[in-house]
Amino acid sequence: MNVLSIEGARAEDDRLSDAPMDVALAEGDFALIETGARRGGAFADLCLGLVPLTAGRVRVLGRGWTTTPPAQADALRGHVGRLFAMPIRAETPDVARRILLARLHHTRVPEPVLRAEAAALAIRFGLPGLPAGPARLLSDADLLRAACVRAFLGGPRLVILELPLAVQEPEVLRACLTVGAEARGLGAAVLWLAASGAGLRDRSITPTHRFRLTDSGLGAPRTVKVAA
Amino acid sequence: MNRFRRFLRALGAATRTRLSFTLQLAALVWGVIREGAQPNTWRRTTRGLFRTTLNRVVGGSLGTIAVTGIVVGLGLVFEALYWLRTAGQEGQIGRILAVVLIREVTPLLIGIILLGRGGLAATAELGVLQSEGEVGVLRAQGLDIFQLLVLPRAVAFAVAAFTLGVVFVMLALLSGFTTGSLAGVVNQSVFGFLDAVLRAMSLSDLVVFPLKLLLIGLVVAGACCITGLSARQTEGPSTLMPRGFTRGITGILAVTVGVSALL
Repeated sequence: MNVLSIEGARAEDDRLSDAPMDVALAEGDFALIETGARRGGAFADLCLGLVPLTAGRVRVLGRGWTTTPPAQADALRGHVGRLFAMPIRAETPDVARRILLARLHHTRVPEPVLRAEAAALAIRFGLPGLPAGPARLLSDADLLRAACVRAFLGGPRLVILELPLAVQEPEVLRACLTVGAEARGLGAAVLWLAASGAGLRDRSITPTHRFRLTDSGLGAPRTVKVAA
Repeated sequence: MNRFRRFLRALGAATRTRLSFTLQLAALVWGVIREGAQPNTWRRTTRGLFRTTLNRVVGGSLGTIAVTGIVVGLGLVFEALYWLRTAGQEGQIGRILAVVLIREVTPLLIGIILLGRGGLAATAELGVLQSEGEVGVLRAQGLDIFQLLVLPRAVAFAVAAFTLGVVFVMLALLSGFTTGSLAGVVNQSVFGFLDAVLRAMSLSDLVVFPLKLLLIGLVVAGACCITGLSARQTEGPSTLMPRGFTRGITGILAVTVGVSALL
């Protein structure tokens, strides 16, 4: 069963091309999509069933968004971790709470367990622990790290990263690759939406699929290398 | 002809806008009643926001309620005691206070205080979340906006309205009675006075008082949440709060007049 399956989907969204799109990501796959931030956000919304379709279908873990009841669709979105282009708002009153919010909502895992898991992830992304207090006390780089923790927390089956490869913090990029590789080893698929640039030719990034999302649609998938 | 059509279009657009808010509000109140009764709705995130909102609204309004209650006690309860004694109609005091203070004045004032102390803050908070795209982020994380942001606020406002209403009535009655005793216009004990008010209340008064307060809490929260969540990217609190205030006041008056007319 594919983790993400987009079959001939045409989106009713002016940020995306009208051309049909096809993507299939199995467990352990890592797709790198070269695109702009605005179009990348729209594509991520499409994967999450938040953009209406005029044709085709989008399925996550075998379930189509159009045929899944709203409550179950929300629960399905709980299996997707996403690093948004806008990491964590500077006005957020409690960063730790914001990181844990989705896990607290979708699961019954005790909060101390979630906090411990988030703190361990935070250390891997270069934070001293789970950030407490208001977001305005954290730097932009730390807010990006906190958003990465939120995206990978709880072992999501699909991880969508809206992260430009030209990010100012190279260690965040490396941590995303390392944690992403581990998540893939556990059966997740990773979809990286990155702006075009020199970073795309970085040899340390070894996706299993490369695409290009432009005005004319999603470029034909090309298998580059099968991940170990 | 074209000018007439443009006029009709403008008139129709305004009517549609007004009706859409009323329908949204009715749907929201119904949704709160229906989903609020289901235990599955009350996840820990929803319960957490309910507790936070209830603490903030009740705690933040208590001082204002205390001052307003004492002032109304002096202005309304004491005046009623004084003039009814002067007119030799002391026996009517319970009925008058039940109708004027408990049925009409209390729900109206509680609604206005609730709107000012908690409702407009909710409008601004949700407006910022909406205009900055955080609502979209929450939706993408599979968090139901109604369940997470609206329902706990609406229920907390309804509970807070009832709680504050009871505190308000007690303070108004006690401050009026105390002033009356000091001025020498009361010749009964405080328990006798409270008993007279309670006995003067009819069954419909006992229904109208909680019903109005709970509905006003729901309507204030609903009006403020709808206004906040309908914010456009260019709209800030300075645009949203006056709109939320107007809608909230209209809702409070509609509930007060509507329930009084029906019961």
